[in-house]
Amino acid sequence: MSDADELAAALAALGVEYRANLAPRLDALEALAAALAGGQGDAEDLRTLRRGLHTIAGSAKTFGLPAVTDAARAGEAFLDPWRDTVKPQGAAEWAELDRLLAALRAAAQSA
Amino acid sequence: MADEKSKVEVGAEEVYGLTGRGNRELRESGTRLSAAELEVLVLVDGRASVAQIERSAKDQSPAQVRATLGKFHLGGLIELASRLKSESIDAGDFFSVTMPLRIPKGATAQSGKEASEGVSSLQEKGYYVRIARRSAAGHPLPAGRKPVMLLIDDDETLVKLLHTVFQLEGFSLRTAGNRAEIVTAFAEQPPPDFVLLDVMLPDIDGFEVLGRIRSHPTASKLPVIMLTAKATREAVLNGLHLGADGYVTKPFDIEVLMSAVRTVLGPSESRPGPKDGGPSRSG
Repeated sequence: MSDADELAAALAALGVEYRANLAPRLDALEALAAALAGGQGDAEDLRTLRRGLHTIAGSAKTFGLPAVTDAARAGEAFLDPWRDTVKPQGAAEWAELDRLLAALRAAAQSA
Repeated sequence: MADEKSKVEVGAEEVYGLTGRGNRELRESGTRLSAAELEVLVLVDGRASVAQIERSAKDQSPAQVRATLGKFHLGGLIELASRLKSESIDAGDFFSVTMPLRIPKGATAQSGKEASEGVSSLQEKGYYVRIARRSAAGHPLPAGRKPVMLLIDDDETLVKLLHTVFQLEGFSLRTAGNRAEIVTAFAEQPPPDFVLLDVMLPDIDGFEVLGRIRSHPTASKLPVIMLTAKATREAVLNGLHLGADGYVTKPFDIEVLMSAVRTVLGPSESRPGPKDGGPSRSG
Protein backbone atom coordinates (compact mmCIF):
# COMPACT_ATOMS: atom_id res chain seq x y z
CA MET A 1 0.00 0.00 0.00
CA SER A 2 1.42 3.40 -0.97
CA ASP A 3 1.68 6.29 1.47
CA ALA A 4 -1.17 8.02 -0.33
CA ASP A 5 -3.38 4.93 -0.06
CA GLU A 6 -2.45 4.45 3.56
CA LEU A 7 -3.26 8.07 4.33
CA ALA A 8 -6.56 7.88 2.46
CA ALA A 9 -7.57 4.74 4.37
CA ALA A 10 -6.61 6.29 7.69
CA LEU A 11 -8.51 9.48 6.91
CA ALA A 12 -11.59 7.49 5.92
CA ALA A 13 -11.51 5.53 9.18
CA LEU A 14 -11.07 8.70 11.22
CA GLY A 15 -13.95 10.31 9.31
CA VAL A 16 -16.22 7.43 10.34
CA GLU A 17 -15.08 7.82 13.94
CA TYR A 18 -15.65 11.56 13.81
CA ARG A 19 -19.20 11.14 12.52
CA ALA A 20 -19.95 8.52 15.17
CA ASN A 21 -18.74 10.84 17.93
CA LEU A 22 -20.66 13.82 16.66
CA ALA A 23 -24.10 12.76 17.96
CA PRO A 24 -23.08 12.44 21.62
CA ARG A 25 -21.18 15.72 21.38
CA LEU A 26 -24.31 17.43 20.11
CA ASP A 27 -26.36 15.76 22.87
CA ALA A 28 -24.06 17.33 25.43
CA LEU A 29 -24.22 20.79 23.83
CA GLU A 30 -28.02 20.67 23.61
CA ALA A 31 -28.23 19.65 27.26
CA LEU A 32 -26.01 22.58 28.23
CA ALA A 33 -28.14 24.99 26.21
CA ALA A 34 -31.31 23.64 27.80
CA ALA A 35 -29.86 24.06 31.29
CA LEU A 36 -28.78 27.62 30.50
CA ALA A 37 -32.17 28.51 29.06
CA GLY A 38 -33.82 27.04 32.16
CA GLY A 39 -31.71 29.25 34.42
CA GLN A 40 -29.67 26.34 35.77
CA GLY A 41 -26.38 27.03 34.04
CA ASP A 42 -23.60 29.48 34.79
CA ALA A 43 -20.97 31.39 32.85
CA GLU A 44 -18.70 28.35 32.79
CA ASP A 45 -21.46 26.32 31.09
CA LEU A 46 -21.81 29.08 28.52
CA ARG A 47 -18.07 29.02 27.84
CA THR A 48 -18.20 25.22 27.51
CA LEU A 49 -21.08 25.46 25.06
CA ARG A 50 -19.34 28.10 22.96
CA ARG A 51 -16.10 26.20 23.08
CA GLY A 52 -17.84 22.98 21.99
CA LEU A 53 -19.31 24.75 18.97
CA HIS A 54 -15.92 26.30 18.22
CA THR A 55 -14.22 22.89 18.26
CA ILE A 56 -16.77 21.35 15.92
CA ALA A 57 -16.59 24.37 13.61
CA GLY A 58 -12.83 24.02 13.50
CA SER A 59 -12.72 20.35 12.58
CA ALA A 60 -15.86 19.10 10.81
CA LYS A 61 -14.88 20.40 7.38
CA THR A 62 -11.50 18.70 7.67
CA PHE A 63 -13.42 15.44 8.03
CA GLY A 64 -15.57 16.16 5.00
CA LEU A 65 -18.51 17.82 6.75
CA PRO A 66 -18.51 21.46 5.58
CA ALA A 67 -22.20 22.01 6.38
CA VAL A 68 -21.55 20.98 9.97
CA THR A 69 -18.69 23.46 10.21
CA ASP A 70 -20.93 26.22 8.85
CA ALA A 71 -23.77 25.40 11.26
CA ALA A 72 -21.45 25.17 14.27
CA ARG A 73 -19.80 28.45 13.30
CA ALA A 74 -23.22 30.14 13.13
CA GLY A 75 -23.94 28.95 16.67
CA GLU A 76 -20.55 30.13 17.92
CA ALA A 77 -21.01 33.52 16.26
CA PHE A 78 -24.43 33.86 17.86
CA LEU A 79 -22.91 33.29 21.29
CA ASP A 80 -19.98 35.67 20.71
CA PRO A 81 -21.70 38.83 21.98
CA TRP A 82 -22.85 37.01 25.12
CA ARG A 83 -19.25 36.54 26.19
CA ASP A 84 -19.28 35.41 29.81
CA THR A 85 -22.66 36.84 30.67
CA VAL A 86 -25.49 34.34 30.71
CA LYS A 87 -28.11 36.95 31.60
CA PRO A 88 -29.99 38.98 30.66
CA GLN A 89 -31.13 36.96 27.67
CA GLY A 90 -34.73 36.92 26.58
CA ALA A 91 -36.85 34.02 25.37
CA ALA A 92 -36.22 35.06 21.79
CA GLU A 93 -32.45 34.67 22.20
CA TRP A 94 -32.76 31.22 23.74
CA ALA A 95 -35.19 30.20 21.01
CA GLU A 96 -32.72 31.37 18.37
CA LEU A 97 -29.95 29.36 20.01
CA ASP A 98 -32.26 26.36 20.05
CA ARG A 99 -32.93 26.84 16.35
CA LEU A 100 -29.21 27.06 15.55
CA LEU A 101 -28.49 23.87 17.50
CA ALA A 102 -31.32 22.12 15.67
CA ALA A 103 -29.80 23.24 12.38
CA LEU A 104 -26.46 21.85 13.49
CA ARG A 105 -28.08 18.54 14.40
CA ALA A 106 -29.79 18.42 11.00
CA ALA A 107 -26.51 19.15 9.20
CA ALA A 108 -24.81 16.34 11.12
CA GLN A 109 -27.60 13.87 10.40
CA SER A 110 -27.69 14.62 6.70
CA ALA A 111 -23.91 14.41 6.28
CA MET B 1 -6.16 59.12 23.34
CA ALA B 2 -5.30 59.68 26.97
CA ASP B 3 -7.15 61.86 29.43
CA GLU B 4 -5.93 63.32 32.73
CA LYS B 5 -7.14 60.36 34.75
CA SER B 6 -4.99 57.96 32.74
CA LYS B 7 -1.71 59.77 33.46
CA VAL B 8 -0.33 57.49 36.16
CA GLU B 9 3.29 56.76 36.94
CA VAL B 10 4.66 53.54 35.49
CA GLY B 11 8.26 52.39 35.89
CA ALA B 12 10.42 51.62 32.84
CA GLU B 13 11.29 48.13 34.03
CA GLU B 14 7.77 47.23 35.10
CA VAL B 15 6.30 44.19 33.38
CA TYR B 16 2.56 44.03 33.06
CA GLY B 17 0.30 41.18 32.04
CA LEU B 18 -3.26 41.00 30.83
CA THR B 19 -6.11 40.52 33.27
CA GLY B 20 -9.04 38.31 32.30
CA ARG B 21 -10.77 41.40 30.99
CA GLY B 22 -7.68 42.41 29.04
CA ASN B 23 -7.44 38.95 27.54
CA ARG B 24 -11.04 39.09 26.41
CA GLU B 25 -10.52 42.53 24.93
CA LEU B 26 -7.56 41.25 22.94
CA ARG B 27 -8.87 37.86 21.88
CA GLU B 28 -12.50 38.48 21.18
CA SER B 29 -13.86 40.21 18.13
CA GLY B 30 -15.40 43.67 18.33
CA THR B 31 -12.71 45.52 20.25
CA ARG B 32 -13.18 49.27 20.46
CA LEU B 33 -9.50 49.95 20.98
CA SER B 34 -7.58 51.95 18.40
CA ALA B 35 -4.80 50.27 16.41
CA ALA B 36 -2.20 52.07 18.55
CA GLU B 37 -3.84 50.93 21.78
CA LEU B 38 -4.17 47.40 20.45
CA GLU B 39 -0.47 47.37 19.61
CA VAL B 40 0.37 48.28 23.21
CA LEU B 41 -1.99 45.63 24.54
CA VAL B 42 -0.36 42.99 22.31
CA LEU B 43 3.08 43.97 23.60
CA VAL B 44 1.85 43.78 27.20
CA ASP B 45 0.53 40.31 26.42
CA GLY B 46 4.05 39.35 25.32
CA ARG B 47 5.31 40.44 28.75
CA ALA B 48 7.57 43.15 27.38
CA SER B 49 8.73 45.70 29.93
CA VAL B 50 7.47 49.26 29.73
CA ALA B 51 10.80 50.37 28.27
CA GLN B 52 10.64 47.63 25.62
CA ILE B 53 7.10 48.61 24.70
CA GLU B 54 8.22 52.22 24.31
CA ARG B 55 10.98 51.12 21.96
CA SER B 56 8.84 48.65 20.02
CA ALA B 57 5.81 50.85 19.43
CA LYS B 58 7.72 52.96 16.96
CA ASP B 59 4.84 55.07 15.75
CA GLN B 60 3.99 56.16 19.29
CA SER B 61 5.88 58.45 21.64
CA PRO B 62 6.93 57.13 25.07
CA ALA B 63 4.41 59.50 26.60
CA GLN B 64 1.63 58.04 24.47
CA VAL B 65 2.66 54.51 25.43
CA ARG B 66 2.71 55.35 29.12
CA ALA B 67 -0.63 57.10 28.91
CA THR B 68 -2.12 54.06 27.22
CA LEU B 69 -0.62 51.76 29.84
CA GLY B 70 -2.05 53.98 32.56
CA LYS B 71 -5.43 53.93 30.93
CA PHE B 72 -5.34 50.12 30.61
CA HIS B 73 -4.27 49.78 34.23
CA LEU B 74 -7.02 52.03 35.49
CA GLY B 75 -9.49 50.25 33.25
CA GLY B 76 -8.55 46.86 34.63
CA LEU B 77 -7.16 45.50 31.37
CA ILE B 78 -3.62 45.04 32.67
CA GLU B 79 -1.95 44.42 36.01
CA LEU B 80 1.61 44.10 37.21
CA ALA B 81 2.78 40.62 36.25
CA SER B 82 3.81 39.88 39.80
CA ARG B 83 0.23 40.44 40.96
CA LEU B 84 -1.46 38.26 38.39
CA LYS B 85 -2.73 34.86 39.49
CA SER B 86 -1.16 33.18 36.46
CA GLU B 87 2.27 33.99 37.85
CA SER B 88 1.77 31.96 41.03
CA ILE B 89 2.72 28.68 39.46
CA ASP B 90 5.11 26.12 40.87
CA ALA B 91 8.77 26.88 40.32
CA GLY B 92 10.14 25.07 37.30
CA ASP B 93 6.90 25.34 35.40
CA PHE B 94 7.45 26.28 31.76
CA PHE B 95 4.94 29.07 32.19
CA SER B 96 6.56 30.57 35.26
CA VAL B 97 9.58 31.72 33.28
CA THR B 98 8.97 35.45 33.17
CA MET B 99 11.48 37.08 30.87
CA PRO B 100 11.19 40.11 28.65
CA LEU B 101 9.78 39.20 25.27
CA ARG B 102 12.42 39.20 22.56
CA ILE B 103 10.80 41.26 19.88
CA PRO B 104 12.52 40.86 16.50
CA LYS B 105 14.25 44.05 15.38
CA GLY B 106 11.99 45.97 13.03
CA ALA B 107 9.10 43.59 13.62
CA THR B 108 6.72 46.31 14.68
CA ALA B 109 7.35 48.47 11.64
CA GLN B 110 6.63 45.53 9.38
CA SER B 111 3.76 44.11 11.36
CA GLY B 112 0.93 46.23 10.01
CA LYS B 113 1.73 45.38 6.40
CA GLU B 114 2.42 41.74 7.22
CA ALA B 115 -0.84 41.45 9.15
CA SER B 116 -2.83 42.70 6.16
CA GLU B 117 -0.99 40.34 3.83
CA GLY B 118 -1.48 37.54 6.31
CA VAL B 119 -5.24 38.02 6.50
CA SER B 120 -5.48 38.05 2.70
CA SER B 121 -3.43 34.88 2.46
CA LEU B 122 -5.45 33.18 5.20
CA GLN B 123 -8.70 34.02 3.49
CA GLU B 124 -7.53 33.03 0.01
CA LYS B 125 -5.27 30.05 0.64
CA GLY B 126 -6.11 28.95 4.16
CA TYR B 127 -2.65 29.57 5.49
CA TYR B 128 -0.07 32.29 5.94
CA VAL B 129 3.63 31.78 6.46
CA ARG B 130 5.86 34.54 7.66
CA ILE B 131 8.45 35.15 4.98
CA ALA B 132 11.21 36.17 7.39
CA ARG B 133 11.31 32.74 9.01
CA ARG B 134 10.52 30.64 5.98
CA SER B 135 13.75 28.63 6.07
CA ALA B 136 13.65 28.06 9.84
CA ALA B 137 17.34 28.95 9.81
CA GLY B 138 17.33 29.74 13.51
CA HIS B 139 16.40 26.20 14.48
CA PRO B 140 17.63 23.60 11.98
CA LEU B 141 16.09 20.13 12.19
CA PRO B 142 18.27 17.60 13.97
CA ALA B 143 20.56 15.17 12.18
CA GLY B 144 20.66 11.55 13.30
CA ARG B 145 17.26 11.37 14.92
CA LYS B 146 13.64 11.87 14.00
CA PRO B 147 12.51 15.46 14.48
CA VAL B 148 9.92 15.88 17.22
CA MET B 149 6.76 17.74 16.33
CA LEU B 150 4.76 19.00 19.27
CA LEU B 151 1.09 19.27 18.45
CA ILE B 152 -0.80 21.38 20.97
CA ASP B 153 -4.52 20.86 20.43
CA ASP B 154 -7.28 19.39 22.58
CA ASP B 155 -9.52 18.06 19.80
CA GLU B 156 -8.81 14.34 20.11
CA THR B 157 -10.07 13.34 16.68
CA LEU B 158 -8.08 16.08 15.01
CA VAL B 159 -5.01 15.03 16.98
CA LYS B 160 -5.45 11.46 15.74
CA LEU B 161 -5.72 12.72 12.19
CA LEU B 162 -2.58 14.84 12.42
CA HIS B 163 -0.80 12.03 14.17
CA THR B 164 -1.41 9.80 11.18
CA VAL B 165 -0.43 12.46 8.67
CA PHE B 166 2.79 13.55 10.33
CA GLN B 167 3.85 10.01 11.15
CA LEU B 168 3.70 9.33 7.42
CA GLU B 169 5.73 12.50 6.89
CA GLY B 170 8.46 11.13 9.13
CA PHE B 171 7.99 13.06 12.34
CA SER B 172 8.00 11.76 15.87
CA LEU B 173 4.80 13.24 17.21
CA ARG B 174 4.25 14.48 20.75
CA THR B 175 0.88 15.90 21.74
CA ALA B 176 -0.47 18.14 24.48
CA GLY B 177 -4.02 19.31 25.02
CA ASN B 178 -3.80 21.54 28.07
CA ARG B 179 -1.43 23.57 30.19
CA ALA B 180 -0.13 20.68 32.28
CA GLU B 181 0.53 18.54 29.21
CA ILE B 182 2.36 21.41 27.54
CA VAL B 183 4.68 21.69 30.53
CA THR B 184 5.36 17.96 30.37
CA ALA B 185 5.86 18.01 26.62
CA PHE B 186 8.53 20.70 26.82
CA ALA B 187 10.28 18.90 29.67
CA GLU B 188 10.61 15.63 27.75
CA GLN B 189 13.81 14.78 25.93
CA PRO B 190 14.61 15.37 23.19
CA PRO B 191 12.92 18.77 23.16
CA PRO B 192 10.45 19.58 20.39
CA ASP B 193 11.87 20.72 17.05
CA PHE B 194 8.66 22.19 15.70
CA VAL B 195 5.31 23.22 17.18
CA LEU B 196 1.78 23.25 15.80
CA LEU B 197 -0.22 25.37 18.23
CA ASP B 198 -3.98 25.76 18.49
CA VAL B 199 -5.10 29.20 19.64
CA MET B 200 -8.09 28.17 21.74
CA LEU B 201 -7.13 25.68 24.43
CA PRO B 202 -9.25 24.74 27.44
CA ASP B 203 -7.17 26.36 30.19
CA ILE B 204 -4.69 28.58 28.41
CA ASP B 205 -4.60 30.79 25.35
CA GLY B 206 -2.38 29.70 22.46
CA PHE B 207 -0.98 33.21 22.09
CA GLU B 208 0.22 33.08 25.69
CA VAL B 209 1.94 29.76 24.95
CA LEU B 210 3.61 31.35 21.90
CA GLY B 211 4.76 34.30 23.98
CA ARG B 212 6.24 31.94 26.55
CA ILE B 213 8.05 29.96 23.87
CA ARG B 214 9.54 33.12 22.35
CA SER B 215 10.64 34.35 25.78
CA HIS B 216 12.13 31.03 26.85
CA PRO B 217 15.92 30.81 26.96
CA THR B 218 16.18 27.55 25.01
CA ALA B 219 12.90 27.26 23.11
CA SER B 220 12.78 30.80 21.69
CA LYS B 221 13.78 29.86 18.12
CA LEU B 222 11.39 26.94 17.68
CA PRO B 223 9.39 27.14 14.45
CA VAL B 224 5.75 27.61 15.44
CA ILE B 225 2.66 27.49 13.26
CA MET B 226 -0.57 28.69 14.81
CA LEU B 227 -3.84 26.91 14.11
CA THR B 228 -6.57 29.50 14.30
CA ALA B 229 -10.28 29.65 13.58
CA LYS B 230 -10.29 33.43 13.24
CA ALA B 231 -8.52 35.09 10.34
CA THR B 232 -8.76 38.58 11.77
CA ARG B 233 -6.14 41.28 11.39
CA GLU B 234 -5.90 41.48 15.18
CA ALA B 235 -5.12 37.78 15.45
CA VAL B 236 -2.43 37.92 12.79
CA LEU B 237 -0.96 41.11 14.28
CA ASN B 238 -0.90 39.46 17.67
CA GLY B 239 0.87 36.40 16.32
CA LEU B 240 3.38 38.49 14.39
CA HIS B 241 4.30 40.49 17.45
CA LEU B 242 4.79 37.31 19.39
CA GLY B 243 6.85 35.68 16.63
CA ALA B 244 4.64 33.05 14.99
CA ASP B 245 6.11 31.62 11.79
CA GLY B 246 2.80 30.86 10.16
CA TYR B 247 -0.94 30.56 10.57
CA VAL B 248 -3.32 27.94 9.28
CA THR B 249 -7.03 28.48 9.52
CA LYS B 250 -9.28 25.81 11.01
CA PRO B 251 -10.90 23.84 9.55
CA PHE B 252 -8.05 23.09 7.16
CA ASP B 253 -7.39 20.81 4.25
CA ILE B 254 -4.57 18.41 5.01
CA GLU B 255 -2.66 19.56 1.93
CA VAL B 256 -2.93 23.19 3.02
CA LEU B 257 -1.50 22.36 6.42
CA MET B 258 1.29 20.34 4.86
CA SER B 259 2.12 23.21 2.49
CA ALA B 260 2.47 25.56 5.43
CA VAL B 261 4.67 23.10 7.33
CA ARG B 262 6.88 22.48 4.31
CA THR B 263 7.28 26.20 3.76
CA VAL B 264 8.25 26.89 7.36
CA LEU B 265 10.63 23.94 7.62
CA GLY B 266 12.35 24.70 4.32
CA PRO B 267 13.67 22.45 1.54
CA SER B 268 12.67 18.79 1.60
CA GLU B 269 16.29 17.61 1.96
CA SER B 270 16.37 19.14 5.42
CA ARG B 271 13.23 17.31 6.48
CA PRO B 272 12.73 13.68 7.51
CA GLY B 273 11.81 10.90 5.13
CA PRO B 274 8.41 9.26 5.29
CA LYS B 275 7.49 6.82 8.03
CA ASP B 276 10.52 7.57 10.20
CA GLY B 277 8.43 8.86 13.05
CA GLY B 278 6.85 7.37 16.13
CA PRO B 279 4.23 8.79 18.47
CA SER B 280 4.39 9.76 22.10
CA ARG B 281 1.82 11.45 24.35
CA SER B 282 2.53 13.89 27.11
CA GLY B 283 0.58 14.34 30.27
